[in-house]
Amino acid sequence: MADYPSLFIYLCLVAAIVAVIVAISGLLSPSDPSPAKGRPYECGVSEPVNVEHRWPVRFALVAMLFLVFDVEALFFYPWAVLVRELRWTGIAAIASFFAVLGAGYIYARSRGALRWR
Amino acid sequence: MVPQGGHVRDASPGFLLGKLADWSREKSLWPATFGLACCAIEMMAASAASYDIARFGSEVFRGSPRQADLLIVSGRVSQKMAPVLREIYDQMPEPKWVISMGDCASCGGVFNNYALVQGVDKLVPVDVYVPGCPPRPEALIDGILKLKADIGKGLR
Amino acid sequence: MALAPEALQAAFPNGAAGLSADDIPYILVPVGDVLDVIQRCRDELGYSRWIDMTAVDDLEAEPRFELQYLLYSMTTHSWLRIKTQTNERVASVTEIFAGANWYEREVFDLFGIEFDGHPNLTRIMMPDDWEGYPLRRDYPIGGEPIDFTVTRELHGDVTLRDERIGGAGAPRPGGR
Repeated sequence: MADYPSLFIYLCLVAAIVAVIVAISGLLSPSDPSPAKGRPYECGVSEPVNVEHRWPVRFALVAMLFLVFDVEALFFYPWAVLVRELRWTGIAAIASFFAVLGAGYIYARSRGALRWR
Repeated sequence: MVPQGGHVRDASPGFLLGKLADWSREKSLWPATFGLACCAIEMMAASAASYDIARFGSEVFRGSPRQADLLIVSGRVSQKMAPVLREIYDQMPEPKWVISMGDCASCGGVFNNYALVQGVDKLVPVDVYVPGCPPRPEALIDGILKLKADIGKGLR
Repeated sequence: MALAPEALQAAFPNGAAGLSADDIPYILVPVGDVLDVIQRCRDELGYSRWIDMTAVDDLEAEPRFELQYLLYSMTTHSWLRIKTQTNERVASVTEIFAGANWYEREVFDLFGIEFDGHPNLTRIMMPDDWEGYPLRRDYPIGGEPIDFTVTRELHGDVTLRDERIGGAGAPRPGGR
C-alpha cells in the first residue's frame, strides 16, 4: 500500500535539514537577552495601562453567540463531505441539528441579542 | 546622551560562516514599520512599485520588531514617542541596524523645540543618517544600499 | 446662510457680536454664560454640529485667555464662533457636545485652562508627567542651541543664546 521506506527516508531528511538550519542559526546569531525582549510586543507600550473603565457586555455576548454558531458551522463540514453516503437519514439528522440550533438563533434574534445598540 | 552598548555583533563563528552570515544579512534586510510622519510617505514610496526596495531584499516591512533587522526611523520623534521608539528598538533581536531618515530624525529638523527629541541618536545608535525633508526615495535607497554594502563587508 | 451679527446680538444681548476675518460671525460672551449660550446655539439656532475649539493667549490682555468654540449648522450650512475670555477656568461643554471632550483636554494640556465638569481632564498630547503648559506665551520654546558657522559673523556669538530657547544651561521645562 503505502511506501513506508521512502517516507522514512523523507522524514529523516526533513529532520536533518531542520537540525542543520537550526544549528547554523544558533552558531551565527548573537545572543543578547534583555528585559525588553522578554516583554510582550504591545507596539512599544509594554508597561501596564490603566484599564479600569468598563467594557460593554455586548462584546462577551457576541463572542458567545459566535462560538456556538461557528461550531455549528464546523459540524456541517463532515456531513457535507459524506452527504451522498449518509443518504436521507443523514439529511434528516442534519435537519434536526439545524432545527435545534435554528430555534436558538430565532430566540437570540427575537430577544435583540444581535442588535448592537 | 549617547546610548549604551551600540549594536551587538556575533562572536566570530569562523571565517566562512561569518562571510555567509554577512552576505545573507546584506541581501535580506527586513525593515520594521516605523513610519512616524512625512518621511514615512517617502518610505512607502520607496517600497512601492516605482522605486521598489524589494529588489534589494527588503521584500517585507515586518509588523513586529521581533522579525525585523532594520529600523528606519522616518519622521519626528516626540517626547511622548521616545520611550516607545526605545522599546521597539530594544525588542528587535540582534543583529540590528538603524537608519535615521529625514532631518527630524537626524537632528530635530525644523522643529527645534520642547516637543521633539532633537535627533534619534539621543535614543538609539544610528548607522546611517539620510538627510532631507523629506529625502527622496532615491536618497533613502542610497542610504539603504550604503548600509547594505557595509553589512556585506562585515563592518557593521 | 450665515447668521448676521445683528441677529446674533439680538439673540444674545449679553454678548458682543461681530464678524471674524474669515467671514464667520462670532459672539463674545461672559465666561459664566458659556454653557447657556452653547446650549441655545445648538437647540434654538440650529448649530448642532461641533467643529472645533481653541484658545488664544494674550499676555497683555485681562483676562488672559480667549477661548473660541466653532459650531456648524447642517441646515443653513454656516459656521458660528462663540468666544469667551477667562483667566483659568471655564465650564465644560461635554454634556452639550460629546465631541468637545478631547478638545477641552487639548486646551487644558497646552494652556492650563481647567474645565469644570469634564469627565477626564488629563493631558492628551504631552507626556502625562510633563510640567508646564507649552502653548502659553511665557513658556520657552525649548530645543537646543544652534551653532552655525554662517551665523557666527551675524550674531557675533558662538552659540545662539536666545532666552526663548533653553540654552545649554537652562533647566528644560517638563523635567526631561
